[in-house]
Amino acid sequence: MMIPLKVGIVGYGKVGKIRHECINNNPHSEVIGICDIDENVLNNSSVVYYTDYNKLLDACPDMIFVCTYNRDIPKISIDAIARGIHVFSEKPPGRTLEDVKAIYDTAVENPGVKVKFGFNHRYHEVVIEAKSIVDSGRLGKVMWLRGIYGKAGGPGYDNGWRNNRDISGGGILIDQGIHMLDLFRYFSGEYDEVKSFINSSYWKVDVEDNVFAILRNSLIDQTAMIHSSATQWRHKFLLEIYMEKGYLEIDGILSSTQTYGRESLKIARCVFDEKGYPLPNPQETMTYYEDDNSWNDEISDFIDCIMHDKPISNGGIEDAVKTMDLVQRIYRDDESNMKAVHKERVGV
Amino acid sequence: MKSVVFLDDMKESDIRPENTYNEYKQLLIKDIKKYFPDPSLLIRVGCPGCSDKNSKFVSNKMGFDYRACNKCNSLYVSPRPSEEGLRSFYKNSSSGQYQRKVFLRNTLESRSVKVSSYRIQWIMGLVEEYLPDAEIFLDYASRNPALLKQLNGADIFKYIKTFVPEFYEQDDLLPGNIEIIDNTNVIKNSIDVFAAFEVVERVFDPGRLFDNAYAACRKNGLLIMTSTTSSGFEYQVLGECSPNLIAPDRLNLISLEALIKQIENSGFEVIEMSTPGRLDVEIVKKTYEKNPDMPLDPLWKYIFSYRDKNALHFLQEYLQQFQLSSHVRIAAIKK
Repeated sequence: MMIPLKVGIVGYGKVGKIRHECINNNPHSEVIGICDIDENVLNNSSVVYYTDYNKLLDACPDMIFVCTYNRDIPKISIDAIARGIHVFSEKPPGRTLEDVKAIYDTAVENPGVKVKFGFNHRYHEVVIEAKSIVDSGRLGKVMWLRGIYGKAGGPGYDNGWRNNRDISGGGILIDQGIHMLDLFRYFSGEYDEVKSFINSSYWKVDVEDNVFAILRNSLIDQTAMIHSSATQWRHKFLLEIYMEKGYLEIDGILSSTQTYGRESLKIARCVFDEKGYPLPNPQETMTYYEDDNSWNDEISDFIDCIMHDKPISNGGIEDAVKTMDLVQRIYRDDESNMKAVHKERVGV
Repeated sequence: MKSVVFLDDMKESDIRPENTYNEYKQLLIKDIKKYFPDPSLLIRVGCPGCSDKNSKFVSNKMGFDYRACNKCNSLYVSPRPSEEGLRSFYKNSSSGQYQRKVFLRNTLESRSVKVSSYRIQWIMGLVEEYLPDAEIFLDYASRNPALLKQLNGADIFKYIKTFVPEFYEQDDLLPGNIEIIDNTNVIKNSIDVFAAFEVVERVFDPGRLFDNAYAACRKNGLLIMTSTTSSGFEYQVLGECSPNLIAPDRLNLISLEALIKQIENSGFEVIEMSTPGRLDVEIVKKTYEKNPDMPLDPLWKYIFSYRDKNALHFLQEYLQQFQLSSHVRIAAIKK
């Protein structure tokens, strides 16, 4: 029997605890140490704990999970990679493109080290099925995508670390909308043109609470439109993928809060008349998915890549760089408004 | 596990035009008297869903006793004709011939649009996701030439085979390049996709059907099936009053729970269980309108009397979403 891979977890908040459970669920891994700056969160854990992540790295884990604030992700990841320790980090991979590029550079210098980021939406059953339909080509090529990902904020939203620019690097887009951007890339590739409108409509915070952006791949004339929102009073996840011969709509996503509705995939294939014109309102079928195995499957995939020395195919360092590049270009396209928001809120 | 909902409307007349269906039922009544005249020759069976022997009498329909299983709530005919008797009945009876030559032919077009096209999409999706290298499809006596015709045109499989030739041997609707087989022993461990559409309800022994499917499929092969279930709205509400509770076409209306268990016991892992039926509400409403004095919960009477078709559409969609329609479809993978 194989000796389980030794795992360290840095950052033991809500997500760190979820990761811990998933690691425990995997027969090929075991947690040997946890690190958090807040000793109180570690009290109930039977695992060895640290308040300095370097001490955890000294314990020589095979891999670490970085579940910290965005600000701390690059340094911890880089230190671990430099020591030859595999890294699984939460998204976003830092606060800026420069952050993730620094991780990338270290990863390139250490090619034997696996680096993966928590773009777990790719592991949802609904996304896997949609991807297999898109890749099969049976509905033709993708023409456009339209995505809405929004939440209501909730109690204490304005005081949370996610809205402290120094810690997070941005607002709702970098926190949640980044998943939708990752899925855009997953389903259709890269975008060379970006137009955006960035608003701070409601929350008194120094980061955006709404982002509208249109992305275009001018080479193949493919467009994607995102609305990322922290004022979506009823939580919503909707991704429409329109192809030449039909369409898919992913509505709802199973999450730990269970507030984004049932996870469903609507599929329709166009019917064409004898002259080849598409008839409106084709038949639709809706598939509902009851189980969210995305967290476990994502970790299993990572462990499998380590054990069998496979390249990271989902959420690897290249994906992280390209998705963060998209985030940064969306922010920059409406930079004047971003600065105005920042100045108004913080007075600088 | 995932489940599917069909969002488009379908009318019962799309697949069962009233006049033709009534004619078919009249022929059935005559044929049953002719082919199964002696009740003492019928065979007493336990529940086809769970094998339990305890059941209660529900109703005698067309000369056959329907019973409800005390354990799994399946509805079934017992005593029933033998396997040979059924085979001869389907092949030679005037109702069987009428079904093939008139009934199915008259609805070929609408069945293609309302039924078969969905099944083709389903098969395509499953193959793409689970068996991209699939080559051999077996249709286990579905009695649906429209499906085989469309499947043939969809170019998914290299070989399409169909079992139980009596349904097709004289039928010019069957595409010529489809192989007809009359013995499942020759196909052991070779089938990629084993389809049993509307078969479970009319075979003598559904458990054996699933065992045969398991033996026929190769490792990771797929069993896909549709059936009528006693767990759905039509039978839960109408019970014996359902106009579709007819033998021997519906010998076994197995409950969802028993069906899943039976498939799993045969060695499959169920990957999808849906009830994408679109007719329950219409059938219950029509039955009530024809027999206003029938026993029916006041809630349904109220809904049928005072709510419009939009409400009925959403009621049917609700039944689909929560696996409460009487038409079930299941996909399972051979482990």
